[in-house]
Amino acid sequence: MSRINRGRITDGQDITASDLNDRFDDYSQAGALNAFNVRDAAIDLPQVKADWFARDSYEATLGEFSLDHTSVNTVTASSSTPPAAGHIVQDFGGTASVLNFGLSGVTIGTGDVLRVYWDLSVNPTYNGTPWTAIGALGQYVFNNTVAGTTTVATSGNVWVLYPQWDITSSALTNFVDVPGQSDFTTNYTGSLYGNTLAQCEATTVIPAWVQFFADASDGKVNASKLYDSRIGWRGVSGAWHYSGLATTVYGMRWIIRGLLHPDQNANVNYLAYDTVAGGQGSPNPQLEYTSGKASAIIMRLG
Amino acid sequence: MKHWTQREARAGVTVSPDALNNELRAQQSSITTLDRTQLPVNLVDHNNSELNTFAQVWQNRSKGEQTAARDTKTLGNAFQCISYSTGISGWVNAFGFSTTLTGFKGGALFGEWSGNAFVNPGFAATLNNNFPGSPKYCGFRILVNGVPLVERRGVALHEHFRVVGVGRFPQGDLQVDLQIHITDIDTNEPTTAVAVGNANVPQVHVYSNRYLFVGRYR
Repeated sequence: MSRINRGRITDGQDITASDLNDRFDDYSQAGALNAFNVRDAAIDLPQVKADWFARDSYEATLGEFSLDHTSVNTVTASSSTPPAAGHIVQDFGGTASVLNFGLSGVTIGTGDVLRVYWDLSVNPTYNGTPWTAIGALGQYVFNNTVAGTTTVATSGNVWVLYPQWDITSSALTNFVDVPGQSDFTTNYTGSLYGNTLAQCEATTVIPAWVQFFADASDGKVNASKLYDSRIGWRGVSGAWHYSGLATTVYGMRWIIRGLLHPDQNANVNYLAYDTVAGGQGSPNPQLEYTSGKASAIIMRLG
Repeated sequence: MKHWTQREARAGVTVSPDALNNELRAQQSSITTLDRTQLPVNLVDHNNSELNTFAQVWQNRSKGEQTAARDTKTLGNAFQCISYSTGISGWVNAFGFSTTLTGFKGGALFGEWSGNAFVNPGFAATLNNNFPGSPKYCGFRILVNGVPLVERRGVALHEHFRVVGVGRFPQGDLQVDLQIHITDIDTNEPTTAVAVGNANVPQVHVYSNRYLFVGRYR
């Protein structure tokens, strides 16, 4: 610690103007108060601004609340190629649910990270056995215990939920997929559309159905012991982080698409539209949803 | 609380040298030895504090697909991923290399790992396995310097996952390993399907992986 050290003025000594000026200069010199002069642990939480941990946070409701599911929104699977447009998560009146960052938006600087989290109450439904349709991606064929073959569900069919953001203006009319996320409409081979898994950084997958095969024996399926099951109402969640180039974000919204299924092409993994399974049953497979939350936290990286 | 004033000058008092000296010395010791009681509130923000003074964030949203094992002979309508032909068992690192949290100062560490996982659930109960312990799961575990930060049973369907944990760790770089655990094969379970060419049944795949760690030093 540095200290100011100047001899004291004693009794009987004349006090001149320079004596006084020198002493006051001691206390006004630049750098007299430095890191060494501030005692250990001088800075505590009261001295730190309240935004030291999270600069801003935002929250919005997705969809609309309905505890007993008397009202639901419904998304129907696409059965066309190219696939139909995605469904924008909205309330029961059709107004899109937007996580709004205000008229000025919020700027994510190069030293910031935007953390986004969401959840939604969903209920996948279907009729019949969509996976058994010829050409459906969601099927495997196994030898069965009576010397034949049996088609079963892969249980890989999913709905997808992913965010878009508007980084142009508070008018919120220019939503685009967030970085690392695409819209599953790339025609990568034949009649198949989808994303590579590298294009699914913000994707939440929601299982469409599940099938169990009881009493398989010696590597063969017991065709009389297939148990397919509805997923039922459940909460699904997702997360995405952004850090990088400085960007001002004005709002985010969420898109639902389906049905999709794992696939591969030229040693690259895809989530691909299963438009065959999506066109089975009356009505076709659907995703019901009610409400959820979206939240965003902006933090400094350091 | 220290007081900066030793002598308050009042009208009519005799002025002595100590009136000046004591006052200056009192201010000198106060100014040059500031403590928390003397500093104003909300004095410090990110612009005038050292980098990572109070907290530090490490994140990667582009961790991608698991690379622990990749069977290239899975069925065509499936991911190239972990199958029972890849020999995976027990806890394994989901990725081929560890992540290092450089410059951790010591304190609380919050960690989260999320993404999507495909699990083949169908053969949870084969013949003579009347009491299967559970469906097939893909478990998740975050290791920090070899110590579990969080360990969860995980998911049993093709669905999203997110595991979160908090622990206290000493200062220094931290090595993070993201690990998965698949349910072992049942004796009656088919590993191949009826198909021409590649026919291995896919079991587990983890993708859309992202992690975020927050070091809190207060």
